[in-house]
Amino acid sequence: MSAQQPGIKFTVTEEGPTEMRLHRAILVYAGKGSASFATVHDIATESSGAATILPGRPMTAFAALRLARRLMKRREGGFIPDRLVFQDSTALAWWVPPGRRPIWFRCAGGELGAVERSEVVSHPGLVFCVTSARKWYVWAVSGGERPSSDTRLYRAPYFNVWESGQICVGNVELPERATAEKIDAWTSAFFDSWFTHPNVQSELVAYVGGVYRFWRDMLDGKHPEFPERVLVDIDRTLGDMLLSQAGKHDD
Amino acid sequence: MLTLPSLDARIPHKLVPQTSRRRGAAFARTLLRAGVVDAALLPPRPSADHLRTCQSVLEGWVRRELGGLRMLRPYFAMQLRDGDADVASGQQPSCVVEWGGESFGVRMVGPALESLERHRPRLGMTVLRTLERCAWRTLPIYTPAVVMECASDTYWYGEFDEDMAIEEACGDDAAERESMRQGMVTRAMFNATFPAWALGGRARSLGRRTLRQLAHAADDHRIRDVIECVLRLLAVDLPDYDWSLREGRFVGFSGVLAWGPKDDLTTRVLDDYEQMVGESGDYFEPCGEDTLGAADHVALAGWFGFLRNWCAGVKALDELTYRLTDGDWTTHKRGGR
Repeated sequence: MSAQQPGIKFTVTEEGPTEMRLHRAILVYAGKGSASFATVHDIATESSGAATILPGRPMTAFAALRLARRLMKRREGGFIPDRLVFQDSTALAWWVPPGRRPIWFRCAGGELGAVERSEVVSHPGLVFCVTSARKWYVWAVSGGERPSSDTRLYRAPYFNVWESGQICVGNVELPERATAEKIDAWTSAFFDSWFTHPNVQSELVAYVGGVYRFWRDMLDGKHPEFPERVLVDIDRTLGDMLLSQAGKHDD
Repeated sequence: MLTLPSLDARIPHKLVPQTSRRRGAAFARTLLRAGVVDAALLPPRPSADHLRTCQSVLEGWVRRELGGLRMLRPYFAMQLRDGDADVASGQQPSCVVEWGGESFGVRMVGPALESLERHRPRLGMTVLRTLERCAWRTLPIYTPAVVMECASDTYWYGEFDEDMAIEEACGDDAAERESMRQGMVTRAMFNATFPAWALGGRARSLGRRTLRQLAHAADDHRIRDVIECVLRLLAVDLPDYDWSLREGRFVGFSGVLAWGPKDDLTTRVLDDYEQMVGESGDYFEPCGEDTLGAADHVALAGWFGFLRNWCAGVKALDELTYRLTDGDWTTHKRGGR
């Protein structure tokens, strides 16, 4: 009988996409004009870690198409929420109608009357956008109509949002994916975090006394309805913004 | 001379998707909060792949709890699953864990148990029953009573002997009945191979006080060691496991305890049983399974608390199995003075 210590296994695996290893290389030859040719090569990896591209074979158009389909593969379809306003391979945008919901402030200087304040207040209509690079934006819209490509955008009147509309994430736990099913989770992640300070140099709201005065008045209940007149026009439409890859990070 | 092009060293040989990295990091955080991780378990160079690091930590954890096993070969398999895409369903990311044991093969236990029974009536029976009880709560092992249940399932329509099966197949035809009985596994074969106490029965096991007295008085160190193992097994507080909740027949036994060199019955029955079950496709191998919230450190800490106790049972079971099957029990050895 063997008195050796038998192996004890404890494996941890995961569902869904996991580690991918370097498998093949595609070399592209291009001439003058539109002429091009591609070859597919296996990769040999040595124990030292060095990798070599092995002799290849021509890549057929069919193989290129099959690869393109695999690369484009996305989740299977499903029901589309009526608040989803835009979706392509680079961005997802949705509308949040005007309404009342809680907001949480933590301002170290006590500019809102206390270091921490929270009330249920009115909010304007908003459009959120998450890009494939997980950049996250918010803009305000006027009225209660579902926005379209021509809808004018206004600066979202919130702290911790840059001029481009990009939201400072800080240590907020964000949903893992940006999909149509997750838009409520993304919206909650925005409103359920602390707003701490303005992130813009220019005007965040057109309000006498400035943005701190505005939010103090909102928290004190001076404006039961959100006063849309305070919104700052950024001179862009929703279509402009989404089609220009949702602006640039300006931190 | 032509040379094949090499890849620049900056080109990565593998890619870990963001989703996988995030999932691994979140699970590592849950393990930390659950108190499972300590500095000694962390690999010297934690991998960029957080799940591999988690695996390394968990493997270290069970090895620390189960170090020194000589017979049993437990395994654990954990799979992390995403929550339901539909937020409204409230289904959170989960961690499904399964565990079981690989088989140590066939070992003989008859000589040791009969020797114990000769030493003190009901001692062999008590040892076997304690082993069976703990095995069913940790890593089940085929013992004579389990093998007879398999025979009942395979040949006897779930009855205690072959009479019903013969009745169904042959009716009143005496010649045919006798012919069938000659060709099949019968209850008489079990009675000839195993002592009655190894197959069940209603006799009471010896109590702990009696066992302690026997251990104290035993001059054969092997008998004393076995009794001490049994006392350790009895001291482990293992919860009962409700096998009826599992669908299908269990086949993931951690080994076979045959009786002696002339016991061909055990392997014959188990071959037929496993073939029948295999053909039915209605079976399972893991001894246990549980689903925990992947972010629920309290639940995970509770599960590891259960596992620590389970490991204590497995260690004691392993030692008892080893002592019963190791060496030559056909000779009576006395300790030196």
